[in-house]
Amino acid sequence: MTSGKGVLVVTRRWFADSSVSYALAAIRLIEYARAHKEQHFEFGPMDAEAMRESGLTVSGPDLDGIAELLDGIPGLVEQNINGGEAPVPIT
Amino acid sequence: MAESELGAQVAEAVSAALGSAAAYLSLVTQTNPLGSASQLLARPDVGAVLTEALDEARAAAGDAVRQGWYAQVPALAGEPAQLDRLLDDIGRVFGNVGHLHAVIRRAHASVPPRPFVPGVSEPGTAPVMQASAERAEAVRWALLDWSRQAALRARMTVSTAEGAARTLAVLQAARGLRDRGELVLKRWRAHVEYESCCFWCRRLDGVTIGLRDSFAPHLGGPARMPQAVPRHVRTLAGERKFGRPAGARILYTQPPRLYHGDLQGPLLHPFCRCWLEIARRGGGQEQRRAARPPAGFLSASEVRAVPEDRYQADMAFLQAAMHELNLVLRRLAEGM
Repeated sequence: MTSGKGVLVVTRRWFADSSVSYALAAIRLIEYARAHKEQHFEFGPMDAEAMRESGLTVSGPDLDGIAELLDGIPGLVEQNINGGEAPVPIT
Repeated sequence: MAESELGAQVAEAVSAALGSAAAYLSLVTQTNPLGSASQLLARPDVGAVLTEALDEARAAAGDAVRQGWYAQVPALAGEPAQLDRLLDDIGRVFGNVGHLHAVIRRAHASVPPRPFVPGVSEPGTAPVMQASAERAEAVRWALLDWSRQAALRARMTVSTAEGAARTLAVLQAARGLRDRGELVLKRWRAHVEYESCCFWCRRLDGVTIGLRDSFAPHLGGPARMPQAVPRHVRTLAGERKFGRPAGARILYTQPPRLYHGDLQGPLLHPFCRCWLEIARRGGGQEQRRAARPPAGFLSASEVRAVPEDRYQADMAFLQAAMHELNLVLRRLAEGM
């Protein structure tokens, strides 16, 4: 699981439900931001086309909670750009 | 624009009003060595002094906010909603004597009673009186510390009032030009030549958008902080704010939280020196960054800035849309 600060890129693993997966991830991030006032992060792009191209990117000083938050969403793959790790399925 | 004289004046007025109250409470605390905090706060004279000090500070701060606002915008052209919000902020700072009670109780309790104990206390000393003197000093410093914080908040509000009114005046002028048929845009300008100019204001410098558009999307996206001008923690207050020791580099990973969630123009933050200017469409330099698309990123602070009712409505819509999308995809998958 990704840890620490940096940038987390969430890409799709397979096409069928990627739209649902991205939308679900976005909703979870919105709810998380609302509920945890001490957390500072950004995510996007919010444009569907751009999201399909680049995946969902989350950046912030502490991504531990974020990675756990997205855990279990089918079809998503996470990648920690800072660590240079290969994509790891989070399902 | 840096902080105006008005900010310094309001800070002085707030400090003077609460300084007098601090001195009075210190005197009463010292002359009642066996009294409790509850007894202190129950005294009518103490209640009157605190209320009077808060009223005086609130009046001074409110006057300064109005003065700062109307210095930039003619009285008839003002937007009461914006000004009302700023005055509400002042009201919240100085409108609740309960805040001061809590501060006084904490300070009072920080010095416990020290009775004279025969055989233990040094003969000829009066530990009770010594403790009461220390307690009085603790109460005085606690009130002065609170007044400094309140003065800072008042200065910030005055600064915001001046900046918001200045922006409003520019927008009104721009709307006037637009009504006369000119195609106008608004452009964010920052004093990038100053080292103190923050990363986020530098990012907005030169951004040119339509009059009704918000600058907020141009703040978004992952921050590339290494490009920022390095700033370092220098004071004790800075250590508390950033949780880092003196000398450590300050990393602003998030833009300042937007005042009521919108950013029609400067200020981005209190004491911001940025300004708004009108750009005529088709002119020479105004398109420098106009073509830059909004980053399309959403920050946690923007999510939190959404009013509760709108948030609930949007989330309900998103959940419903998710449900529908899921059903459609399932049907498609079954039909394949």
